Amino acid sequence: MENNNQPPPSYSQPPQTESSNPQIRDYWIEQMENVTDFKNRQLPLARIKKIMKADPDVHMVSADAPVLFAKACEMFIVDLTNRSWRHAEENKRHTLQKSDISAAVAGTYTYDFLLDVVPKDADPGFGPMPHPDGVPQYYYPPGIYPSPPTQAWPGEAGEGEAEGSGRNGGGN
Amino acid sequence: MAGDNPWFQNPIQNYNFGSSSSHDRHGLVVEDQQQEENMMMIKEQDRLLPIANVGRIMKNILPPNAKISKEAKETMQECVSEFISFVTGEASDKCHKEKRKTVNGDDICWAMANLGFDDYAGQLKKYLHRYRVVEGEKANHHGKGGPNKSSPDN
Repeated sequence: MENNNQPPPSYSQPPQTESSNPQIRDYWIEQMENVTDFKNRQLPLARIKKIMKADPDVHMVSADAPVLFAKACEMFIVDLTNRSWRHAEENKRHTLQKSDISAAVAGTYTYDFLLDVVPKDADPGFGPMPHPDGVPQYYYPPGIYPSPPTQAWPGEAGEGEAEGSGRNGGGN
Repeated sequence: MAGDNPWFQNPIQNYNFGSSSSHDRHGLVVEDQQQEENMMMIKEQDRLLPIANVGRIMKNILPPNAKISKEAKETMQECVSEFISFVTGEASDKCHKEKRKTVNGDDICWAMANLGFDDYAGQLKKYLHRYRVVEGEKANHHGKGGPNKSSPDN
């Protein structure tokens, strides 16, 4: 009876371009043409209507508008998630982060309206962000410097240099 | 507390903050300020779609081994609300120019196409058409005195 609760096709390969992934598009077309039950859906209509009416210029909203938006929002979430996931994969991560969404927004001109919502953060990539001074991102209270090793390494008697020893530095 | 709808009652009416109201430097009574903050928190939840629903849609499209950070879900909530507002604003402008008061599904489709979401618009038109056919059939089946089909709230 309910055709619009089938999960989307499983993600087996990266989407080709933009939102024109044929696999996903076919899924949506099938959904749109065969749906019979408009009541059981993924997003609450009352909440959608509330968001619409938050606009002071909006007076009345027809019954079909929130129904349409529920489906449109689903498509939007799928689209943005796909693009964001591409970014996560490029950084060899399996967890979708906010930065992935930022990157997807920055890379798609139709999402320009989201630039204020998701400002472009520095991409964390693999590890911690490099400190602008080039010094590793460890905290030392002011006036306190990493102390040299107390035990001299063989062949480096009397030197005890902290830099380059790899013990305290090497943020990357 | 009387009533079970948190949006229509003062959430802190039974609270006693201990101290009598005093004025902060803006001249606002401190208790009123607390009330205002609480109401703003509720309004904040109102303007976002539920994180569970949003997260579920995201999860369905990703591979099985994928995880989604809470922050990413929250960000997606914000993006979706902004999407709704953005498209609604465009649709509303059109209605205003055409001296109509009610924003309908066709306006939404038009607004999406106008804002660059051509792919969505095309497919949603089919969905809208289907909705109207099915709902129309239901109305005919139940007769004129049947269930009110123009109430989307649930």
